[in-house]
Amino acid sequence: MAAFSNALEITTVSRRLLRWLDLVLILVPLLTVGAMYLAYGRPGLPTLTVWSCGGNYHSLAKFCARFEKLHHCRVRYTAAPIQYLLENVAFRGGKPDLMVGRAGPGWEALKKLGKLAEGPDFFAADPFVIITPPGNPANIRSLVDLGRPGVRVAYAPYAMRPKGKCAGHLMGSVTSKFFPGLNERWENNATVRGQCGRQLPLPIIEGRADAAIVARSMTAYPGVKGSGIEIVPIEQKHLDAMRVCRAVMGQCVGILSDARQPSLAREFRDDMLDELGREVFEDYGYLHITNPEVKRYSPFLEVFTPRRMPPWQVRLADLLAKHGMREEAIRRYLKVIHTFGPNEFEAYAHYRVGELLVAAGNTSAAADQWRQLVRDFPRLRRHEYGSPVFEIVLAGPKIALQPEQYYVDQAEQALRELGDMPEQPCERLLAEACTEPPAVLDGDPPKNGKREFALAEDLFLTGDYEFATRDYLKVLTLNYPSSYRADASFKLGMCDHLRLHNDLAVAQWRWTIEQFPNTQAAKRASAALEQLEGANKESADLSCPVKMPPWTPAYETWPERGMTYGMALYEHRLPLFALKEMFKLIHDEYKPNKLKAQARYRAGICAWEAGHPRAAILEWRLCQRDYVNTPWAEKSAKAIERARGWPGLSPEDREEVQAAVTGPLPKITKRNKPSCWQRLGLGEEFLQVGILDDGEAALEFLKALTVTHASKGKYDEAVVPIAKKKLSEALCSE
Amino acid sequence: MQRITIWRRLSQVGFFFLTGQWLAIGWLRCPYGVPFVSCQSCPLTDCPGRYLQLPVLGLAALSGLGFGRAFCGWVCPLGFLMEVLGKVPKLRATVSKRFTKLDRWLKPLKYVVLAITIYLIFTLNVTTVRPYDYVVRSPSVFNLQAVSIAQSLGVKAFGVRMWILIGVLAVGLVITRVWCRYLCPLGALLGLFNKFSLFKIVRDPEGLPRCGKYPRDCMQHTMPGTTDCVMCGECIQACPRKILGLRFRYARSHSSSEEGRNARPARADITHQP
Repeated sequence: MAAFSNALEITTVSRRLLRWLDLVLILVPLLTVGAMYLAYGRPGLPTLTVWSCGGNYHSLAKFCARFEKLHHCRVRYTAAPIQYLLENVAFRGGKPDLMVGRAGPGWEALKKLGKLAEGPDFFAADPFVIITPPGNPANIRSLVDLGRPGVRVAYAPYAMRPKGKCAGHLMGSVTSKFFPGLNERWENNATVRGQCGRQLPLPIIEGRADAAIVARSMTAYPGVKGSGIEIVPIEQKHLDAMRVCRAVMGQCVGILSDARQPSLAREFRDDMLDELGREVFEDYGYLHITNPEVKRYSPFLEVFTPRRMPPWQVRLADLLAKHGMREEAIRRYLKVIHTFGPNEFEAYAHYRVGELLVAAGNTSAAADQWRQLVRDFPRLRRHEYGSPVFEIVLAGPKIALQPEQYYVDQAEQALRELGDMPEQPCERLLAEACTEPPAVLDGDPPKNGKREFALAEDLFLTGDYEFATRDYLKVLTLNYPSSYRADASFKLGMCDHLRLHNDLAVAQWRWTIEQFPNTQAAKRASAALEQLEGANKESADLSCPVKMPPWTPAYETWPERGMTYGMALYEHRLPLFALKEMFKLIHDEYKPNKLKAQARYRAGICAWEAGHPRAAILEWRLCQRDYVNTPWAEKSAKAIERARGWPGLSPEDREEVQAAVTGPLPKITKRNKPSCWQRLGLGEEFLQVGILDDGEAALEFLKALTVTHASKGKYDEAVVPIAKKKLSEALCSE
Repeated sequence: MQRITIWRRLSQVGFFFLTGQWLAIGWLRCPYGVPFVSCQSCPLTDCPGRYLQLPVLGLAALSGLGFGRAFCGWVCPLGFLMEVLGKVPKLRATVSKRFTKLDRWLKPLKYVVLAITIYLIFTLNVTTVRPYDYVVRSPSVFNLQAVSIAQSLGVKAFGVRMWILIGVLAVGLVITRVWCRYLCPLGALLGLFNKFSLFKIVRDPEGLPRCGKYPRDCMQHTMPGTTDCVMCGECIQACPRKILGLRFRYARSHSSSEEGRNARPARADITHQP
């Protein structure tokens, strides 16, 4: 303290001198800041305004600095989320000279707004690659290896689209096209889950993970560059499988029509496309357009405009509700909530589900939906592509959507009118079965069973146990080996129990305990089994002239998974849904396959079980005709013989069966891809064999008119008049 | 004006240069609702907060433990700016006198702000799972276009923050250190340390009557050693009777009682001064 006190007494100075000294000290920083501001403004120099999306900030900041020196000008550079920059240009009078960013829908929007004078020109590519620790200890050669047992994977599904979400989509697409179950295995292998794509290289460097999918530019980040990590390129066909976004991110530059410095802007663009650009951007891990390696990726260098699924799904749900198919409409609205991640239609969907449930007399479940709506909405943050700019380019049906607050108000009013509704009566269930569905987030990779599980959970809460069974079975079969399988299996037993099939419930719970020991689901299943002691467990009497041939669950190919799923539906006594899966196999919805003959035969049994003996006879006859010299044709002949003399038929059914045996065969048209035609074919099959009372035919025609629009960006408008005609037929027949 | 002011000013100017950019970006472009808190997980890579936050927080903690609110008087760049604005004499003279009456009622406001800030950290910052949605970057802190784009992101916190800053700077012209005295949550927190920091400003000897110079001449308008004191040290040098000093709070009791005994006759002398 003495030293401190002495320091204060350094010298004897006059008060006036101190005042001056203080003033100088105050003025130094203020004047310095002022001078720095003036220096930044560089009066007299031409100023170029450059805006870009945030991903390439570091490389572009460096490029701007180099350009400033080279051309003796000032570059005012700002990087921000692209939709806000576009909104600034479109609606708030923002006038940058150039825009730089990924080859996304924003460029199309700028073109349509008449704001883009030149470009977009590709200056670099940024493909996804696999990174591994030095020496590649897990011997990773391809995306398939990421699903191998024992491989430790780092991933960041909830990071922003380009560096987090897109990796999940890439795996989802490769799963869809080549390797069923790969996505689930990849997710199950994840030992490191990052919040941001930028965090992925670190665990690889530290050896905490064996592989991660990252954008190539991330391998040049500080700390990553020179760390010795190995880069494994991804096969071309795997990159090509990706449709929802691009596996090779093209980087573009465009000159805007309101550019104040058009000639300088052109020089900037030319430099980006030339040597200066190559020097800077290659240093940051991009493949510059002049690099010969880019040729390999040239098919991917195109402006990509994704199609949006949620509005089409809402349109389908609206149409289903309009045509009185209430249960299917509810499922579709719930699909809007649980399939696409946060989107602007969620509040509307919740409200509509509530309305439809009230109309169905299930006010308790309706109140739950509305309570959830009031609790969770309006959402604070924007949805992906939730910008008026993207509406210009992302085509979809026009849905008269109100702001989320409107539906919240409506729900509140509806709840007031309902009065004090009790919560969903969970206590009548055997165990703690009423669980909240997991929230599906923006970045949840497709094909991992989470979406189907969430949908099934909500259907369970609404009391639609048949539809819930269907979606739980999807988790167990189509999404094998999803991490939600144990819970889905337990809940499936619960659905069986609530559908009064206790024998199935007991079998399902025993299977759960056996397959997933030491899990919460197994514990719940044990508790449920105990509670079911003494209940009636007799199996239902099946009434088909022939027995369904056994099927061993198989998951190697998509058709095998489809058959496994269809057979599971049949075993859970949902023959109509099983029939539809057989039709899907016949119409190559699960890719071309060799299971068609038995699918046709099995379809006959499903149709019979679903109460359509005429359809069953027709299916068996089609099997005989189309697959001669196969055991399934022989089996079909026997089935027809037995069906004709089946004692359980009513006189009307017997007449129908006789007519079907002797009458002409329906003309089944083979419809190939795209999906809209396949769906039409499926609907036609239902129509031709006369299964109309469940609305399945109408549903397929409606799908051909709506949701297939978004399928991989392909849609054939020629399907519309045919589908509309067939829809009318189906609705009239019903 | 005291000699210690020059030392303090040197410290303030140094820290202003060191942390000024962080201050500006934090107030105008931080993607979190409450700035200067979530820097370690912030994706705003052009902001120096990621590197500065821990050392500065460490300094604030050391300041709190050692000297209470000294951080506010010697380090804080916003405190420096508020002090500079308070140097504009005429406005300050007219309004501050009238404002003095309200002063003691407004001082507890900063504890309310502290409580609100803590609440907002948990409701805005902790729940912001995608701060990168709100990131606006620019190589220069002087790029005002970046600020205007940040304002157009549609996040209410951005606008609220900017208007608070503008308001505080404007009012700072008429009320000296208005932010530090009535609103600053960090100041409120550090002020609590004034009660048990290792060092404190004490009157020596204790029990002497007040001369009336303080709080009138204090920039914080407070008494030395109270929770609002920023330990600027000016009062120590300005005290006409030279009875203020920086002391170790937890010194042995016998020495202080001895000092008190020795000081007792002096009190009579002072009270009899004309």
